Amino acid sequence: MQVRMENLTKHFGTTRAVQDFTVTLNDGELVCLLGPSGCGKSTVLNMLSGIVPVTSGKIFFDDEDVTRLPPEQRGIGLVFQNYALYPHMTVMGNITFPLEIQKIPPREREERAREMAELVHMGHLLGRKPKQLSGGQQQRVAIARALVKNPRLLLLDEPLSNLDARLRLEMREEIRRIQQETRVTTIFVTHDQEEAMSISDHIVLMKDGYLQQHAGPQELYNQPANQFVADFLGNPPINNFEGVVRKGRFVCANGDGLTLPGFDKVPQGVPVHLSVRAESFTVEETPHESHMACRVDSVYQMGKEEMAILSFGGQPFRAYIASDYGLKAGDTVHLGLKNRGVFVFDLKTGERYL
Amino acid sequence: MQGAVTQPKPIRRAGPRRVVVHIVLFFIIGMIALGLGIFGRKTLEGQTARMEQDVLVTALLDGSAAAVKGALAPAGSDNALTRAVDQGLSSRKRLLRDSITRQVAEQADNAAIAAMAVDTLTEGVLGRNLDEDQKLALQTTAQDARDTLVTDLAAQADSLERGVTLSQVRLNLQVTQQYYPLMYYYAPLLAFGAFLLVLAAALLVAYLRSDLEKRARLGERLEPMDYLLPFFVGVALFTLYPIVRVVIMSFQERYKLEGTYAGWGFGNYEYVINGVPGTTNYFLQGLGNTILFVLYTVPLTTVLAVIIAYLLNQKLRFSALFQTTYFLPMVTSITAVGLVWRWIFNRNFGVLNAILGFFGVNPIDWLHASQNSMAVLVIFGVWSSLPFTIILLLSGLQNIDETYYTVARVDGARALRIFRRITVPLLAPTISLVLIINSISAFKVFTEVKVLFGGYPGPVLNMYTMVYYIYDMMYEHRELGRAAAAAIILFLFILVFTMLQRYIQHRWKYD
Amino acid sequence: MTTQSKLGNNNYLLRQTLARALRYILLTIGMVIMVFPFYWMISSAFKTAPEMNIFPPTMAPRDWLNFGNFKIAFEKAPFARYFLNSIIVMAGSVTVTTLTTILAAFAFSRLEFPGREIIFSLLLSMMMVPFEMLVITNYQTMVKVGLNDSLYALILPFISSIFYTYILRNFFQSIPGGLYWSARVDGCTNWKYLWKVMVPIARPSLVTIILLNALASWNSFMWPLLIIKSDLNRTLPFGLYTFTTEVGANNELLMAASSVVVLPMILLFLFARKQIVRGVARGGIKG
Repeated sequence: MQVRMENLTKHFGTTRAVQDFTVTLNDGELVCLLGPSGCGKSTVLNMLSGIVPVTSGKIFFDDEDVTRLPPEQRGIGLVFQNYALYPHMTVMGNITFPLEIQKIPPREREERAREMAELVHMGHLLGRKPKQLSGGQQQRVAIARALVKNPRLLLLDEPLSNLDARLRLEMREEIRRIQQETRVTTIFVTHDQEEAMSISDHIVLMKDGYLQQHAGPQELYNQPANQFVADFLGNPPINNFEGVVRKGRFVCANGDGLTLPGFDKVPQGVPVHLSVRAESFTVEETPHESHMACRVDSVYQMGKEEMAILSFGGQPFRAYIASDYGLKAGDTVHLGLKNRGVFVFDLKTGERYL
Repeated sequence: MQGAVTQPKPIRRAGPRRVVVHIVLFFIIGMIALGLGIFGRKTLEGQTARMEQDVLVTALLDGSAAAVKGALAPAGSDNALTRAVDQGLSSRKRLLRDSITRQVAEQADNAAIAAMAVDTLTEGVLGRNLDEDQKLALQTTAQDARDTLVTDLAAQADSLERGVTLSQVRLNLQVTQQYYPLMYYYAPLLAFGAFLLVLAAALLVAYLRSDLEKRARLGERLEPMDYLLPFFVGVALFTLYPIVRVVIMSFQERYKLEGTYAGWGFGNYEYVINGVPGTTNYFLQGLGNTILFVLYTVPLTTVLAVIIAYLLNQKLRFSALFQTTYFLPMVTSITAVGLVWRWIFNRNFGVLNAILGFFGVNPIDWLHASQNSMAVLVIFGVWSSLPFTIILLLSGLQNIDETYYTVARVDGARALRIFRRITVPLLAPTISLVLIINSISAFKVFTEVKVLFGGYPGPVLNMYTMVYYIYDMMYEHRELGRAAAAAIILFLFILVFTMLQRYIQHRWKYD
Repeated sequence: MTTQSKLGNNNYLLRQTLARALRYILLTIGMVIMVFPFYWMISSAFKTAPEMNIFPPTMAPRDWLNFGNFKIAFEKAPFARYFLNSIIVMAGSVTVTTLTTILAAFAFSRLEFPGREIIFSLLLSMMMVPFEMLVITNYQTMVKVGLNDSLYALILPFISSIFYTYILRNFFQSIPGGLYWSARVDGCTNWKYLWKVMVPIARPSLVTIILLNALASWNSFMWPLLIIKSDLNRTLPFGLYTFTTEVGANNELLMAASSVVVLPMILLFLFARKQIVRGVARGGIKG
């Protein structure tokens, strides 16, 4: 089912939680609403589910305007951050409850519940009560309960936040698998970019209530729409060098600089960030105008690579360097930049120039 | 460098000082307690002589009266004669008591006293308004019998157990006597004093044998005691001691307020459970009434409270107003409120009958018709236990996570289904808690009865409750032993319910 | 499809509004029933004797400012004295009990001594024993010691409360122990720590305990009934009760007196409602 949001806005009193949000999500996709705390992603989710009324704008499920519909009439499945499993019912009871509400006869209920339980690999624990289950198991049951009534849309609110690191890895792959098998349009909210990057078909990145970029993970990573997107994705965070481009050369405050072919397309004399991903540096033998002369501050061994902290233009930055080069603190090294992972953003507006 | 060491010193010094203070205090208080105890015992012993004298006096007085009466108006005599003899005896009794007392104090010979007593009494009888023939007859009988009477009486007095034990004296003291508390409680005082002195001595020994370090540590170990002392004094005197005492008392048959009792056994329990044959067994009535009261009030209160708490649990305007009015009865004295209800229930002028009259119902005699008594009590009981119950249930409702409702709502559940399948089951632990607490509270119903029925257990003594029975036994009859037995039985009922509560709370933990 | 959703919406809204209306109606009915006896008490207090003796009774007195009954009641029985007694007993009882509770709760939560937990569980089990049972011996003790019929007797048996100590101890335990140890390391004595740190932090809990204690003391009936004989030593509820025999059929006097008894606690409640409610809930759930 296609989900289309047009100019969605939500105000809580004077607080603007979501502003002019327009996005179309395709049928059968796993989409992530990503962003820092307070960016409005949960609010969008709540508007999609109908729990929170919309201030202005429209929501369409396929071609149906559901903006004013109450939650129970939208055909959605909801999984909360705390799973909200009914503690006094068994796993079976929890999963069959939505069907019970729809007055489906007991035998059919049980059948469908078993199916669902098998899908989430909980078929053998149907008689347990929630307090006897682990965090990951509880989440599976919550998902099964949401899916058992064949919803058009599955919404998950920070599903992995309550799990420990190892479980998180396992469960996010589970979510992906379940989504693939059922082909239900699924939207989940998270603040963890790694999570979003690893399993989503598309990511919707938000900040302060505004949509920043909507694209696939790779595109977001390789072609960030603005400074914020570039900063938000990637581990370690992208390196930002402050400086100005004059006559096609990028210069820092202390005089260090470099020249690259694309720089003449950048507005000259405007303060900018030269943003380079840690893995986008190459080690060069000789100095060159397209190379950066940097001093090594410290080096961390990480197996086949080293992460070095270096300085350029008076600003420290991180780079992944192959161990072969044997860099030591205090060395001076010349680094070139690859084609990928290098951007120029306006210092003030974050607008992308290159 | 040197300056850094001064910090820890203050704590160290406080330790030994504390020990010394304790030793001194224990010693002083111990001495005082011991002194008071000894003084009490001495005074008691002083009373012994007096008591022995009292016993003798009573024996002589009663004995002489019985003897004279037996001689002059033996069993089977006509009523006029008996009455005359009685009157004659009683006219001299007070005077006689005084003279006997005086003579006993002067250590007079028993025979002499006996003689004097018999003569005085005979004189009193003969001085009555009788016709000459009767008088003559009596005079003759008296003269004939005199010597035998005197000898018998004297022998009786002589063979009397002269020794009175200290505990007998103690139990027969008058509460109003000087130094009564010291005399009655001399034994605990002595024990307490001795205990403290031993403690002081032990502390002293420990103190003298240890160095500064150990003294400080000793002081530290003593510290918790200082904080606990006031609390424990209260608990020991007014909770622990009574618990033990009441249990023991229940087996001391016919234990009275004064402290006397007939012996050990189950007599109290038998009396309480069986009652006096031929009369209403008020304890069983109380038991029945109490159980009925619990069975009527508690479920009713709970159901109403669940509904009200559910209604109050939404975001409402005027919630402060609602809260205030619903919780009002909780803070007001049952006595005052009971009196209003008494007025409301009034048959002739009460507003309840007025309202019922509005619906065409005839005035009901709530307070004086025995079949309505339970209804009156239950109505009042429900009304006054609602606030507390609502508060607890409201709290329980608010502890139910909102998200459960949201999830159910999203799945399309309507209010009734949510209430039935989610709210009530999740509220079940609180409901069971409320049931237990209210039941325990209802078992203790007393003030309500006293106030609603004007100081009597019901219009025709039909509304006894267990606590009312205990109160009755204690206050009206001064039969503490029987009250204790009843109290123990009450406690057993409450105990069962408390255990039940713990068990249920344990079983129904969802998290 | 859009029209269908619109209808669904309207039905939904209608149901919501009806539900809300029903809720307010039910609550108001309940509220009237709960408050009515108080209204009746106060309105009767201002009625004259003839007004009381008519059927059906009037809803409001003819003169709302008729303080005559109050005057007469105060003349017939020393209500001022009763009031004073109640205040003395309440103040004394609350003060002493609060002190012992604070000290004991501190000892049970922060200080270490052998058998601490065992003793505490024993105390908790003693809480089960109803006062109605302890009353028998306490009555005898008071009589024997000669404190019978005095205000002391109303205060003394209650100087320790296991219940309040339990509540306060729980609260004290929730204060992190690290605070205590760092203070100790700085050379702070237990006494200072208790009064300068723990008590201020525990103020809400303490206020609740004090309020509940004051309430219980003011409204207590059975114990004064047993212990107090002379009129001058009666507390308010007991004095009110004996007043019923004085009053005969003049219920308006009784209502006036009752109003006086009830008023202070109602004022206290209006003042400290949140505290009292929270305290009752917490206490009820724990015990």
